Amino acid sequence: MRVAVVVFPGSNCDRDAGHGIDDVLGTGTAEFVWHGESDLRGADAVVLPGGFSYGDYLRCGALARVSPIMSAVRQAAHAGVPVLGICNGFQVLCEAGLLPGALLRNDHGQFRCDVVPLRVCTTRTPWTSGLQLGQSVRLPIAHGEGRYHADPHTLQRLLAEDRIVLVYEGENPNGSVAHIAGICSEDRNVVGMMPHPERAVHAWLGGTDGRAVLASILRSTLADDRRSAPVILEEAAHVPAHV
Amino acid sequence: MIGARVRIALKRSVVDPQGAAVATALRALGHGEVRSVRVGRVVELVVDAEDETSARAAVDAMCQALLVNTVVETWEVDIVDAGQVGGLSVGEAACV
Repeated sequence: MRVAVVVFPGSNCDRDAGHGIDDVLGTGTAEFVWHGESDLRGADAVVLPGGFSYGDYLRCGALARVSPIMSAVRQAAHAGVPVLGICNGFQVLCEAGLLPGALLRNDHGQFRCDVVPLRVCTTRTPWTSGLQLGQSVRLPIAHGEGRYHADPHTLQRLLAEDRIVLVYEGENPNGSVAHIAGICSEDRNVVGMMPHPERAVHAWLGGTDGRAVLASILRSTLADDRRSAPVILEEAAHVPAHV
Repeated sequence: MIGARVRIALKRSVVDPQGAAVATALRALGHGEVRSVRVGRVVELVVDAEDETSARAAVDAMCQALLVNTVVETWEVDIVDAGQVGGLSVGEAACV
């Protein structure tokens, strides 16, 4: 399996995402794709990493979404390829119209760097299928503009269609509507979330709850995987304490 | 060439923490009369256009395509003299 990690100028979690994917899904799984390229080279899944693409010029994610590679990402998304936008990647997906709503400055005006508890609200996405419904996970966040906003009509639709993926369980760190931390597209294959699963893949990183998020895509891309999927899922579920 | 000044603001229904922070700072400087501050963005453009109407249409299209996030922002376009909004481009020496 190959997971494309798109690198925009100003991305700063691309290496973390690459390491996380390789550590959970096997060395060589992640493949970096520069934003100026026009082809995802047949990747089985796509990750838009965190950071400050284009220095957050104009608005977070606004310029990244017109990068050449985004045509290919849009095409892949429409073809059903799992796409995950993390933090700035979530902002890019919203700006690109691949996810509804927008991400605004945190309501308290501060950048928030923390590890927060989240509740899994749906497992019907390729990035949460390996989690349990209602499960509580702890994932790192680090953002100044993570306040998810959607008009009441859109919010109603997200609720009705089971498209709210993650919500903040404790204090809402940014003032997002309905405590939303992550949502998915109508077709469910495109997921955006403010938390960083790639930063929670080893005990020495402070947690391992991100492993199940990244490992989830195995369930949706099993047919393409040359390794034994049950083995990888087993590995992902049982992380030795010393790893 | 025709100049356009686009004034972009958050919708009134959207909370503006940046504006609130600026209001707090102004009050700290002694401007206790400040009731509310909202911070927006101004984008100035010079466009090739036949007339004001076509310039306005082009700029409105640009707003919807990129300059404005219509989910949370509103915009107004002022057509102005091109000389009023031009400036140094990246790479041009600033010989002051």
